[in-house]
Amino acid sequence: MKKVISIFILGLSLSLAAESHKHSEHREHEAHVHGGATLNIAFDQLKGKIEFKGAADGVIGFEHAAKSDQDKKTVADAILKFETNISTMVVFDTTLGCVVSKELVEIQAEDHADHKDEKKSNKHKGQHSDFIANFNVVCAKSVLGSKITFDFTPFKRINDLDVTILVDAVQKTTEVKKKPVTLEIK
Amino acid sequence: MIYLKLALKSLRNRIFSSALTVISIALSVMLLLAVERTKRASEEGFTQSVSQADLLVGARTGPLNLILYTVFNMGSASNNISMQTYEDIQKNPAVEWTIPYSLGDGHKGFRVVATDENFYQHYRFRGDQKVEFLSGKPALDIWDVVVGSEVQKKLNYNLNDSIVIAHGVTRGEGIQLHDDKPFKISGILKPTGTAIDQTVYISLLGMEAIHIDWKNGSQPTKENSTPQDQMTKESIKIGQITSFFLRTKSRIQTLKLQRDINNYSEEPLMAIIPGATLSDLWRGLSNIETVLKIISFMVMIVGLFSMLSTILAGLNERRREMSILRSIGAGPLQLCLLLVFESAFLTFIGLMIGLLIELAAFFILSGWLESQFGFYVTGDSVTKTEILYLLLVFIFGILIGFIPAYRASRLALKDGLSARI
Repeated sequence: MKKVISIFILGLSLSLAAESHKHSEHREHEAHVHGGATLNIAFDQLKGKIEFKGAADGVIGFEHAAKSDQDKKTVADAILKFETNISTMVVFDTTLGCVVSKELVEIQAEDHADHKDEKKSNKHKGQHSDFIANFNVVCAKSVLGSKITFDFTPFKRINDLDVTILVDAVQKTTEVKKKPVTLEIK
Repeated sequence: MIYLKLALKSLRNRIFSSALTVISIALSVMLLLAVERTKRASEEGFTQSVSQADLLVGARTGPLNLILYTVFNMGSASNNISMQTYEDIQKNPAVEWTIPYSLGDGHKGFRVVATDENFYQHYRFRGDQKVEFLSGKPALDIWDVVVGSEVQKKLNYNLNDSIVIAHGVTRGEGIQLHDDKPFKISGILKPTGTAIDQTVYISLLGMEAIHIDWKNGSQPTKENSTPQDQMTKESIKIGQITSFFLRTKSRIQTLKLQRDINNYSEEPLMAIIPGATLSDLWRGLSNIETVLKIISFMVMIVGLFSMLSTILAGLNERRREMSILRSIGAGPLQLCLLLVFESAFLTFIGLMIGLLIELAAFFILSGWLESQFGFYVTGDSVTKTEILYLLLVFIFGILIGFIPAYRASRLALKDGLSARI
């Protein structure tokens, strides 16, 4: 009898612990703004990095998983357009001799299903997705003191781009709306 | 050359009114340029209130709130950060140094910041300027306190003076005083023109020590309170801080570390790039800049119109001069050119004097402006914008000269010769 009670108590404790763990699981959602995007640029001497992140809708035109051939083609075209246009969207001074190369371009689906039932029904899962693109930059001369122009007009659905730049001790931000913006790195 | 000679002789003849015109233009130009430089200096001073720190980390809140309560002593933190989290991030291989801040107490209206030796070693503002001592040493022992220059001046403190910290309230007098555990001033800081001047610095150990026996937000009774002399560094364990600055080994690593901290699953944190947030905040204040610029342009226009009125008023007195010039062969076009030249000449002299006064004033006062008001005068002596302003004023000055010139060219020869002067 004692054994049965012990097993029962152990079972109950484990079930309570599991329940408590379930309640304490980490839940949070990152903000997702349609039409918005962030662009971070950091440089260590002559080597730099460009990181773009924005609602996939701004680059591709939709955020659902591409299943049809048409959707898959749209995604592939948008990715190619972004990759080939990066040097005209982030324009370094030509005298610096900067070369931009792709590191990563991907579409990241956001899991918005945080409720048990929602997860089961899969109703709200993957409602939003982000377009992420990282590029490496190598310049022949330091970008300090030069100007960088941001022109994201090829993507009409990106209406508000927040740019942050880190070069040596320089920390700058700017906001790019519909028109190209030039920022001096000093 | 003949125009210069004639203009100079004519102006010398009317030296008083000409000097007044030049002074009025010079003062207007000086004001216009001073507003422009003040704008630039205050922007540099503001956005570089803290420099060389790549990230500022605090509990999750808005970026502005985080920067306001950490850098400018304004507002309060939404939450604290556990020491475990702080140490965890500190150990990240990408991190070069960190400066912890623990806030929450005050002293006679000034905020108390608890920090450690890293603050005195690594904190930088306006480029590479570091925190310097007027006298004394950093607050590294439990009961040491360092006061900012403004605190010292307002409260008339000296080294080794004893001060009591108030619990909670950072504005005005505190309600609960940590009077059983007074601190001793170990150092006085030099003026910086930043919020550091209005801050009282203690050690993290000191902050923990004054709250050691507090329970549920209540002060301990005398019997339950650990006597000050029984507290040692070893007996105090720091449990939490409010925020911290961080420098990474490379700027590229900053971006990744910022993402990692913002997604730190054990505790909700927020990492911001301080310079970027400060420049965002400054952009939000750009309306003030526009208002200042409008005011200075209005002053400039008043200056130029006063030049116009002086020349027009003088024209009446110069009818004889004009007639004599015409009688010896000068045509209406030559008279017109002479007056335009005069106007351009007065504007040019006014511009140069205004520019010189402005440059000299900022050169002489730059140190004082920086330490007292945080104006950080840096970069070119005369910027492209200032050159553009000067050119605009010069062109406007020439254009204004056409008004009296046109009037003079229309005067008949007999007007001046028959006039009663």
